[in-house]
Amino acid sequence: MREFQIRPAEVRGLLLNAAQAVFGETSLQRELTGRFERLELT
Amino acid sequence: MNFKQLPKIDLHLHLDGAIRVATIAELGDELGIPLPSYDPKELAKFVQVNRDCRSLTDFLKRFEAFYPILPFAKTQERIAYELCEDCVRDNVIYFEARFAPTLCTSPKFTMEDAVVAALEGFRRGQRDFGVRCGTILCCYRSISVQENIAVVQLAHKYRDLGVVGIDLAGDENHFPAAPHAEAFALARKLEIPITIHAGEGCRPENIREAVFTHGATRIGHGVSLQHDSELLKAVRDRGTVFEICLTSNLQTCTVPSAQAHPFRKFLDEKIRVTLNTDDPAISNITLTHEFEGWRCASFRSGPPRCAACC
Repeated sequence: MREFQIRPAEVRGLLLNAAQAVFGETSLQRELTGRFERLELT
Repeated sequence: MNFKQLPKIDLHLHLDGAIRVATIAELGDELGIPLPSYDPKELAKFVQVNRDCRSLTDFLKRFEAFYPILPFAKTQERIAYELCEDCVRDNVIYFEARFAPTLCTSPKFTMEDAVVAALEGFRRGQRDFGVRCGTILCCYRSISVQENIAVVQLAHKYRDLGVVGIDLAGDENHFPAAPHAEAFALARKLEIPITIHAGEGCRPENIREAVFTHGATRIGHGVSLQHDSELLKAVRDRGTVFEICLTSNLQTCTVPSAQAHPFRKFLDEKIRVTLNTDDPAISNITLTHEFEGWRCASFRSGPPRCAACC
């Protein structure tokens, strides 16, 4: 069976992808991206 | 990892697929709209997906039960407001909710009426619950290009009040995107961001067309990308974002099992993917479920109804 569990680094990647892809204004993208870059995932 | 506590973003979230069952019942009763039941527990059997769902058609039938409540300002404003509250409860810090104005009209209620009412609900919801959101207006594959141009014009008119993009939704098996090229050309001219439902179990060519012809920077679902390695490389190079909706894809039988879903492959291939809910009320899920579910054997082994994380 393939392993489906998402690793912490991948969770961060998913969140960063979303933050960088929001259709809102650029400042919002930056703010959300910064927030997820600072997020500590273990 | 506690996914509930994790701040999250939901980019693929249908407003009409996120209505609380109790709200459908209350609004149906207040507006005098016939519903299969006005008891939320009974009504849930008609509007929420269960293990018997065998196709996208089955899935979409759940919406038919309550569509008559949509063309009312009271409905649009309330469901937008409540979605803000529901997202906050799941620690979603930003979301983009989408809906097709054409599905919310009546002789007394226009597409613009629907947009204005929903935006007011989102405005109040953001103020009261501290969440942030944008609104995506969906063009629809089965309506005329003139109507979809009107949707794009509405998106442009209300950008300052929260509209952030446009989408193309509807049955991609029977209604291609090409006839709506003029609507997307207008969106590009007006610099309105574009996402398109494409490759939801259908031909990967629909993804290619959405990205390289119509200018979509995000793709809704995109499951069939797994079948075209050349296209996969092309969208990776372009940085196209794929709005993945795992539970929805299982419930609509877009994929036969979680193991068959290309999500893992997309991650490994460095495709820019995001996790989203699609229709959380119909699927009876949260975004936390979509992150957490992959740990759960029952989620992986079949259509999800997982007591551990639902």
